[in-house]
Amino acid sequence: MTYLDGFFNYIKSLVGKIYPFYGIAIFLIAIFLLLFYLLSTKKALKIFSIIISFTAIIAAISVSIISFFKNGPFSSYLFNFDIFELVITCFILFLALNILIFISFKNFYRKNFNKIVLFFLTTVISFIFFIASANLAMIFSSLVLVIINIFILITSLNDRFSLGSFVKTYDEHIVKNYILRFFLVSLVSMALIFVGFSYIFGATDLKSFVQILETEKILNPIVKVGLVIIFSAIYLFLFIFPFQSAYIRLIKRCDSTSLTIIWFFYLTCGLFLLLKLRFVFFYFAKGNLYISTALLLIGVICILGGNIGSIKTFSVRRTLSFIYFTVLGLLILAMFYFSSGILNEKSLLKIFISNLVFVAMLYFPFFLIAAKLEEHFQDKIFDNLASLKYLKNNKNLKYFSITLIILIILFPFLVFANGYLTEKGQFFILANLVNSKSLSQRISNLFDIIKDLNKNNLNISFELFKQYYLILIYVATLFFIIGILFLFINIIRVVIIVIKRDNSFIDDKIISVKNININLNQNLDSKIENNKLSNKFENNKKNYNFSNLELRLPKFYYIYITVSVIFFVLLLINIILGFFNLSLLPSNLQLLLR
Amino acid sequence: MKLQYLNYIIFLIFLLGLCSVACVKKFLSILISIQIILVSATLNFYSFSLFLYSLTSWDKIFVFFGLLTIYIFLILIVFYNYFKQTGLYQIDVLKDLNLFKLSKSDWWGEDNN
Repeated sequence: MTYLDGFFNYIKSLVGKIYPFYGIAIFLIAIFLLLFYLLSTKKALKIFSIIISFTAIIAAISVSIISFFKNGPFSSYLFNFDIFELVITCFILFLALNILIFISFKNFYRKNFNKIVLFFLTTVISFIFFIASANLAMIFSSLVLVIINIFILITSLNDRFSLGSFVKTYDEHIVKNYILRFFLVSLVSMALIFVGFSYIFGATDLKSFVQILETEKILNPIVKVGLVIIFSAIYLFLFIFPFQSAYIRLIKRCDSTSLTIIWFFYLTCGLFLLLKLRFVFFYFAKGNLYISTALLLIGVICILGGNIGSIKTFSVRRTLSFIYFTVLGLLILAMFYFSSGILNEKSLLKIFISNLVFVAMLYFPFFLIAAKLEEHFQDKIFDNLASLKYLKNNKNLKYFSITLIILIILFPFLVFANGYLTEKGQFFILANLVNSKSLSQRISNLFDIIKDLNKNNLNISFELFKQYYLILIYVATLFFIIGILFLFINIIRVVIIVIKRDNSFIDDKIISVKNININLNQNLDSKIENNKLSNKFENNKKNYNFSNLELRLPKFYYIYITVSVIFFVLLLINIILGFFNLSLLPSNLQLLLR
Repeated sequence: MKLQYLNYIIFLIFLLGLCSVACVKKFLSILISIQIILVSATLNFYSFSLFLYSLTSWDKIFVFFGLLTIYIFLILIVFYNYFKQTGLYQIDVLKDLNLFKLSKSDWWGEDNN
């Protein structure tokens, strides 16, 4: 045996040991290359770092899929990597690809661009660790690491105005305070999760939720206390009403790239934490009257709060943020439908993943355009949706504006298109309501399951139980329909604002915003800077153009969504094409999870 | 001392931390409140370990890695706050950092000014 063979054998055994983290190995290579020119401001090197990152993400997606189908599921003391984790990893990498496009467009000319890309890659790495983690200590540590990386990324993205130690404008100071508030809330939720885990350790001395479920210790009241604290922490982590203040305040002022990070990394991380606890949730929620009622209440609060909030505001940022709350509310209602026996476990997971995919596919192109406009119209001018109408005034952008309007119209499909269908292609709620016999049958099955488990010590009669659940289901359905109707109203409102040809309102807004800026900045002697910004805005208003690449990029999303909607219609009328499994539709994730 | 009484005390410390997080407005006070919650969690781990699972090392590992990561996060937040100052004492210190506000403008995200 030569030295070369020994070396190859060593490499081979090393590669075997790092499965299923081949993706992370690729990212580490990309980071190693980035380190050589981290502080460089040369354009060519920035392009090189984008190419490296793109290649790394695409390679990580391919390697994860190929290695999984070659080596199969992986399970160890700390990690667990099965088909579900593979789907989530690919989804996160796909989101990362989109966010990288966003970062590249918005921050290319900044001095710290290479550093931002580096922090972005470390965030993705920690996210992959978090997805694969199974051990309680690993779940907690990797979760905090993800949040740390998101914090570093967001602070470096908002480090726009001054690079020194002193904050020079009042706006920057406000952003700093909002970032602090936002991450202090997430720090509190982390501390609460730590307390929850301490109670679970106290009651069980076990290392993972699967182990806890396999023993009878799950029924220990201290475990229940720990779980209640953890679920409350997730509630706080997701900034669900009435704790949304820090989140809503931050999204109004921060850099637009940070918004995509918050929506698709931070909040998605919270949802995946919820999915990590899915086995415990499935165990406790099935037919539990208290959990069902609590879920219904939270869902209703989210839907109402999200819809009323988005109707009240004219800001694109806040509209999208509140719509995210509405989607979150609809997902929580889906959890309620699971606890009332209408949905099964797999359908619930399908609804979660496919809706997140669809939200991402609509938010990215829409917000890419919105952020570009925001950049041109300077900060708070784009606070008003009416500024979208400037698109129509430019003759070169007619096609672009039509694309934008179609994108907005397609927004309701994030509720209808994917996830809320049963295998037979029916809406699960309507199917159950129309066929009251099947609903009654499902509830009696649920009652039988609970009787068998005998975990809730039910003292009520079947008729009372059935009536209570029927009331809950009808209330949930009523709010589900209200949520969708409100969403439609919001979409129509946005379209009307875009189409309406009235420039007076936006001009008044520009003047008022200028005045506000001048008043705010008096304390910090930045009137000169403010006047410069105002003049720049006036120039931008006259000379307004997108680059060719920026014009072409949203078309890809547009084509994707159109194809997805066509497939949705085909699915609805029960036509399934032969090559259906080969496309990148969210519905395929459903098929994969089936 | 019995485990039961110790747990009551720890739960009281936890509630103290939780209430103070919800009420205080200053940056340092919030940090101290969070530390109180962390102390209650650590005490919880060690009390159970002492009374029930004295032979295991699992709690020490969990507490070590949990506290390590959470303190890195905490230090980063503190560093960010003190690195990014305006240089004007009044603005930096008097700013209200109350985490859970329920005013109308905080509910819908509208500016007062």
